[in-house]
Amino acid sequence: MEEKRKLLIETKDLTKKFNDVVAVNKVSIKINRGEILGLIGENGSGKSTISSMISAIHTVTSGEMFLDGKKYTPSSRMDAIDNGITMIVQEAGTIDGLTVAENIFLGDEKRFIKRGIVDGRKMEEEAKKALLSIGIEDIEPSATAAMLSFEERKLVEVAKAVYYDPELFIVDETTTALSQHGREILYKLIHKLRDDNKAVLLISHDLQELMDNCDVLTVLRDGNLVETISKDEFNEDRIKKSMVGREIKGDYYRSDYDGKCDGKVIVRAENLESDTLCDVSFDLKEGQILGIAGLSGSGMHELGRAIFGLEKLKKGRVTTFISDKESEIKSVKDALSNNIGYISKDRDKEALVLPASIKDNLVLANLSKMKFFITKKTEKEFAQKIIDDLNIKCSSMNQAVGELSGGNKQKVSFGKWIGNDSKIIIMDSPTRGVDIGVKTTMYQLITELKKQGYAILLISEEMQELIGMSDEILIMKDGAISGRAQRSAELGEQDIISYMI
Amino acid sequence: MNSNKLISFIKNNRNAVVCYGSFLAVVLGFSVMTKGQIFSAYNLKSLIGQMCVLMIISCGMIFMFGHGTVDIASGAVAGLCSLVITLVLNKTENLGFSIVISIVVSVLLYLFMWFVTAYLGLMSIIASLAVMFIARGIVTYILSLNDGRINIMHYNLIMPFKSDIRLSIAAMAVVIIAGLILFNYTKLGKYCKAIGDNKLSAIQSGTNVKAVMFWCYVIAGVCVGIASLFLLARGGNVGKNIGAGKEMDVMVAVILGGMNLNGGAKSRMEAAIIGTITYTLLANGLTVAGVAQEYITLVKGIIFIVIIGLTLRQNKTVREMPR
Repeated sequence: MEEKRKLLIETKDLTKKFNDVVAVNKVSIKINRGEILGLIGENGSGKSTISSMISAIHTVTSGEMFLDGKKYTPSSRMDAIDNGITMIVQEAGTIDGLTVAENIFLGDEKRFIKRGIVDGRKMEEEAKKALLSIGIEDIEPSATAAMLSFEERKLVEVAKAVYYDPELFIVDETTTALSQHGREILYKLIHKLRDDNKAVLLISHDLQELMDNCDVLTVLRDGNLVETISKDEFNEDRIKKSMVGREIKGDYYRSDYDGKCDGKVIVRAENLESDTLCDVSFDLKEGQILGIAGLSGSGMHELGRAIFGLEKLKKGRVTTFISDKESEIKSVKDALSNNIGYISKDRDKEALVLPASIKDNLVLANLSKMKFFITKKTEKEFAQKIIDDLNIKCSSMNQAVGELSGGNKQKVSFGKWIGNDSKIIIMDSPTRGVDIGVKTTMYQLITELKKQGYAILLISEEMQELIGMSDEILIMKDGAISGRAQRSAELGEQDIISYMI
Repeated sequence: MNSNKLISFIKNNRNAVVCYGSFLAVVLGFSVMTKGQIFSAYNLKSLIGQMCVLMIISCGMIFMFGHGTVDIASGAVAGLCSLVITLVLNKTENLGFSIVISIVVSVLLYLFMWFVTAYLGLMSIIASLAVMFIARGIVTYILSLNDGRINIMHYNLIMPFKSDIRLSIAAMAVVIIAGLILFNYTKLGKYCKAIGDNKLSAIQSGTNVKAVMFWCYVIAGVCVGIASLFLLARGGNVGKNIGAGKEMDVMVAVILGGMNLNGGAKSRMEAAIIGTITYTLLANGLTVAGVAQEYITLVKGIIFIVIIGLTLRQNKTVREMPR
């Protein structure tokens, strides 16, 4: 079997430097036809950089690439596509103002020109075919991308990438943005491509996903290739160890299975109703981690926003009980004055001010509690304490947050709320797009916060994370709570999924 | 290696480099070109007089640019306020009262822009365009009823604002110090910068965007109201072009000072202070150096485009960043 697979693309000593920083160091990999190759490694290990060089998003510093035995030096992304290499990136790749059809055929409108005018109908028909070919029926080609959810937009990109009949299909950490349904569409697709004797390069942080789907796994660490493992040798502990180069302890998540909480109720949501929410009620107690599970579109993210006063409620109320004082949360101002903190799912666009310094970001959420005049000294002391407490790695507190790695960015957004004495922290997908090493730190931090009596609302699309961390899990479907699960050692993903679908 | 370090230092501190670089270039350049005449006691005095109006408005505008609003109404509003001062002064002969009315009118116009932007959701620059036309329109209309010009009947009352250099210095000092404190050491300045960078994130960190913008517009309004007095004193009477183009002078000045017109964390009050000095030196130096008046605007335009070109070009050549 191994011998039959034909080599599609090969890199030899591929190296990429960003200024003086070596991101990828002399990596030689082989991608065969009829094979799904997984790339795994911590953030900054060079996964995305390698795939970006193959698809010509990045230039190559040194080293060579060979496509079908011939030297391959793509000049642009379109050149890469012409060579049969398409890629789906981590970030949004659609343009909001254009329709689905226009997005799919962006740059290729020429084929639909009739008498000098683009034939919109023909384009939409073709787009429909492209969508159907990957099994999507409910996205209208005439809809503008802005009207779609993030997941749907991602699927449009998938349809676009596959439409061009790729020889090599690169999926760069796309699955974190997808719900179970979207993931299944993607999995089916890459398996089909493999069976058609094409090659797939799958990049993900989700080890389980890679082990389930890949034929070969290549582990990267700090820009170096550590090892390549074939399917029969897949073993979770071994891969994890090889990724971080050290043993990951058993208590990756919380180690206890005590889901009982005797704390006082600190937040009460009663019959919340909004455009997406439908009669949601729950209590959150001091020292409790309450998990919220659901598919995208289930209202889980809106629930988090509602508790923070960001969502317009039609009915119902959110009440906090801070030191026996009852107050209703109607706005962000109420939320802040009642010690609620909120970490948005969209870290870069909502949770942080990227061009501003770490210090400015940390101070920002605490300004409402500071005096009108703020001295440099107050700011510095405040920021330094949080940086020390959370062990944020930075060159100085004046470094722009945008320059930090994903994990350290997330620490800053945690730090904002820990620093301003929040008692209740709403975390929406806190470990989205961070690597295992950072995840471990995050989980330890969340556990520590729980011990200190923080009430935590943990909204997540990762079932393992919810099961591993929460005292209780609320499962949402169509804006309502469809099930609840208590913490226990026996709780499995299947128990939760059954309520989600 | 050293040159690499220098380049990366320049890239990282672009604003400061533009700010002090253009300042030094202008100072040195004109010292040589005018053989030091530009720094003669007499010329220094006239320099201070010339920069006063611009300095006061620019300091106020930092609060607007800082949170991401490009205001183009300041010149027209200053013109209208000069007219208001003249009318009130001619009626009442009360200087203090006329200044208060000028500030009130200016603040009201700015708050109108604030209301349109914050509550009707219109782009701020459109709101300021509207106010610019309204203010300009009122001035033109009232002047048309008065043979195209209104003279100040008691010019002696406001003449000190032109002749007494100490008044100019004092006014600038007050505005600069207040601006520096408000922008660097208070909640208002910090919220203002956060909104300029990322409004969503600012909201989620508890910024009351409307309130912060309210105070920014008030500050801008107060500054324009005060500056009008000096504008009028220097003009001597109100003609239809009073204050015209001041908004553009402000923009050129703060850009010379290294300000990014989109606002955000890199906004600095120094951009207004140093930028205004540089700009005034530039305009004045060209005259002293004997450049014909007809060419001066053209030369200013070229310098402006060069600075913009230098700063924007660096923005566009995106450094290849790890993904």
